[in-house]
Amino acid sequence: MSDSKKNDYEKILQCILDIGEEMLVCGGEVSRVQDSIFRMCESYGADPTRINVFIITSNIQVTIQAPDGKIITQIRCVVRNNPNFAMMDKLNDLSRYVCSVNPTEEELRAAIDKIIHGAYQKRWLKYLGGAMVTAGFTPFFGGTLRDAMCAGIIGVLIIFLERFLANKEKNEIVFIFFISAAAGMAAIALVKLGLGNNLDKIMIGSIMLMIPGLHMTNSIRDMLIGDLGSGLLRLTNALLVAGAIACGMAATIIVFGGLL
Amino acid sequence: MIIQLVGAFIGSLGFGIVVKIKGKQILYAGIGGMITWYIYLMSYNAVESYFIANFIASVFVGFFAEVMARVNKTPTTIFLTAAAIPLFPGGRLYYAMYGLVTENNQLFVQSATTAATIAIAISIGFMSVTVCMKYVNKFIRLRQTQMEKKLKDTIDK
Repeated sequence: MSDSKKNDYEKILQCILDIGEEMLVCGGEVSRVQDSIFRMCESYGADPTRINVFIITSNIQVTIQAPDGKIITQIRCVVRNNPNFAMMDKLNDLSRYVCSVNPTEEELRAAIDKIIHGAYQKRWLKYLGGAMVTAGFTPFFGGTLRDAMCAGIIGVLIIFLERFLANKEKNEIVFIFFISAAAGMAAIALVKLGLGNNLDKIMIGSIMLMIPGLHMTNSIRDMLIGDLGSGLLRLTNALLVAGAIACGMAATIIVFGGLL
Repeated sequence: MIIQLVGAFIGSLGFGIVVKIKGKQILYAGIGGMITWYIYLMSYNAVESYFIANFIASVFVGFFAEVMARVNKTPTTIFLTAAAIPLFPGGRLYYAMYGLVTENNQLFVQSATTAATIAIAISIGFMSVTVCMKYVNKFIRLRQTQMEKKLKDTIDK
C-alpha cells in the first residue's frame, strides 16, 4: 500500500461488500464470503484486530478501522437468490486478485461491473438444462421413455415459469408452490392426453428439478463450520421449500386427481 | 441399472447447466453424479441399508468435490451440489405427499422417515469429509512449512 495514492476507504468497502453480496447471491457458503471479505479488508491495510464481519444469509455487516484511522461500518441486505457458479468462480478469483494487488476504487468498480454484467449462459441452455434434469430423473425412478419426454416438456415449463415469476412473486415459498402446482397440472394434462404413462414418475422427475439441493448442502456446510445462524436459516428455508413443492403437487392431485 | 446410471448422468449434467457451471466442469459434474449413483447401488446391494448406502455415496461425493475443486481451482460447493443430486430423496418426497393426500398413512410414514434418513445420511457424509479435509489441509500446510524451513536451513548452511 503506497501512501501516494489516496484511497477512499468507504467506497472501497462498498465495493468489497458488493463482491460479498454477489457471492452470496450466486450460492456461495457464508464462511467463504466471510473469509473473502476479511482478507480483502486486511489487504487494504485495515487493522486485522478491528475487522468485524458478520454474515447471515440475508445480511452482511462489516466494521473496519481504515488505515487513516476512520471507523467505517456498512450493512448490506441481501434478498436475491440466483445460483450462478461460473460467476462465483470469477468473484472468487477477483477477491484473490484484490488481496494481492489492492486496486483503486475505480479499477475495483470496473472489475466488479465487468463480472456482474458479463454473459454467462445462453438463454436456451438453461431450458435445455431444466429439461435434462427432469427427463434424466424420470427413467431414473422407473419411468418409460415417453414419460421422460413429458418430463422434459415440464422441465422447460418450470424454467420458463421461474423466469416469468421471478420479478412478480417475492415470497420464495409461494413462488415454489405456484411452480410446483403448475408442473403438477401439466403432468396430469400430459398423462390425460395419453402422452405419458406414469404420472408419479413424471412428477418425481419434475420434483428433482425444484428440490432445494443447493440450500441443503450449503446449510450443512455452514453449520459445520460453526455458522449456526445461517445454517439454520438455510435449512429452514430448504425444508419449507420442500414442503411447498409437496403442497403444490398435493393440491393438483386433490383438485384434478379425480380426472384420472 | 444402466438406465438409472444414464439417467443420473443426464440429470446431474442438466443440474450443472441450471446452476451455470462453466465449460468442461459440467461434464465432470455429470460423471460425478453417475459414479455417485453407481457407488450407492453397489453399497445398497452390499448392506441393504438406506442410511449406510447414502452415507458411503455422500462420502464419495465429498471427496470427489474436494479433488475436483483442487484440479479445477474452483470452490468445492460447485461439485458437491451437482454430483450429489441423484442422492436427494425426490421420490420419497413425492410418495410421502401422495400417501398424505390419499390418506395412506403407512406410505406417508414410511416415505417420510426414509426421506429424513437419507437427508441425515447425506449430511453426515458431507460433514465427515469436510472435517477430514480440514485436518488433511492442516497437515499438508504443516509439511510444507517444515519442508521450506528445511530447505532454508540447507541453503543457509
